Amino acid sequence: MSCPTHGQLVGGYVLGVLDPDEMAEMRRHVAGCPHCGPEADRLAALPGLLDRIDPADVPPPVLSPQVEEKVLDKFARERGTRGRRRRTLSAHRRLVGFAAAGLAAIALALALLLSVGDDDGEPVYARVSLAGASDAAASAELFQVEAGTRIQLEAHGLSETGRKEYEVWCIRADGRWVSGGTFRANRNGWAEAELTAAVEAGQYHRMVVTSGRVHGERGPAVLRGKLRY
Amino acid sequence: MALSDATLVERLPRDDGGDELRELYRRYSGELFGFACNALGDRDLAEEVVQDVFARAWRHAGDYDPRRASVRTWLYSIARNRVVDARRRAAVRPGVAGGVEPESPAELDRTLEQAVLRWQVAAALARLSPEHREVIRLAHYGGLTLREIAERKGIPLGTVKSRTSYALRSLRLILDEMEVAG
Repeated sequence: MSCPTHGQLVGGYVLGVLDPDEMAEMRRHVAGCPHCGPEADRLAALPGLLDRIDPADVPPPVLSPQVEEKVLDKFARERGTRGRRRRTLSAHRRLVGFAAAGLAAIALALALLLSVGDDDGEPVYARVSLAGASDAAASAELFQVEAGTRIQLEAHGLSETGRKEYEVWCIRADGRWVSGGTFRANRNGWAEAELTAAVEAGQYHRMVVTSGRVHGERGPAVLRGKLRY
Repeated sequence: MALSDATLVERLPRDDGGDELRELYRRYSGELFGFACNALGDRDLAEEVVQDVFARAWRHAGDYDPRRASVRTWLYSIARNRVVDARRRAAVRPGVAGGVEPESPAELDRTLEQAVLRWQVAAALARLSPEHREVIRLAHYGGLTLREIAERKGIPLGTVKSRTSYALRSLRLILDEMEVAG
């Protein structure tokens, strides 16, 4: 409950913006009032907290709605991946059971199990945004895995005709182009792909997406981007 | 009835439709983004941090122990680690604020605590009514007395006095909700 006589002055008192005579009166009052004393104490830290910010910081920056879509897309994609991994693991466990009679078969099954691995939680070691002359664009996250680098790529604005094939390339510092494999866009020009390239963090700094090969020859570059380690 | 934060995290591993993740995102993405923006001074990097925090929250939901920390504290600890990583990367990539000079762990902790606090105070002010926010802006940042504010705005002095008190009480309540002491 607020003080019936001086409650409305507490805010101005805490901020030190009352007239001088009111400030003096409040100092005396607060010392003995069972309402204003505790309330002034409770609010006393506010000027110090307000000093920490520039009023231009209010309102604080707002997160773009696209980030939520990206988070949920990633979640849906990884859930699918996890589901596939679980199914794959289960299949291999069944394989272990059937092969129990033969040590060689068990060894093979175990090898298969180990090869499945589980890189959930692997840290992203770099990211890349790719753009080109057209409206197409892509982004990728790069993870270190045993075979090299796992590339999780999302692209949009690609050719909408005939589910065209594209190839992802990691350009090594020594000029070598290392293929990460191919993917196709859907009919809306969107693509999501999980690829693996035989390169490691630090060995390359650029990534290029080209059109699919024609007669074994690398297609023209469609998108290019520089890695952000 | 709304699920508690801890229940949302507990359900994440079995979250088929993404409902729990979406709710957790709704509750915490804004403040985590504000924290990351303050700590990194770069919107794009801050957005990447937010994405990473929720990806990790989902992947590691099974590790969360409600007896050790609130969900907010847990998410901030993930965000803090992501911000540290981003600052390390920025240390070799000129142009990102605060990323050139390497900091000691203690300095870094202080910087990140300040970043959290700045965002929380700004967010609390943003939640006040425009009238309450304005009276604080004029009195605290503008250096006007309540009498000067009343004259400038053409409203009774008594109204300005009570409005200022209500504004500070509301601000304190919002900061209490955000677990901001001091």
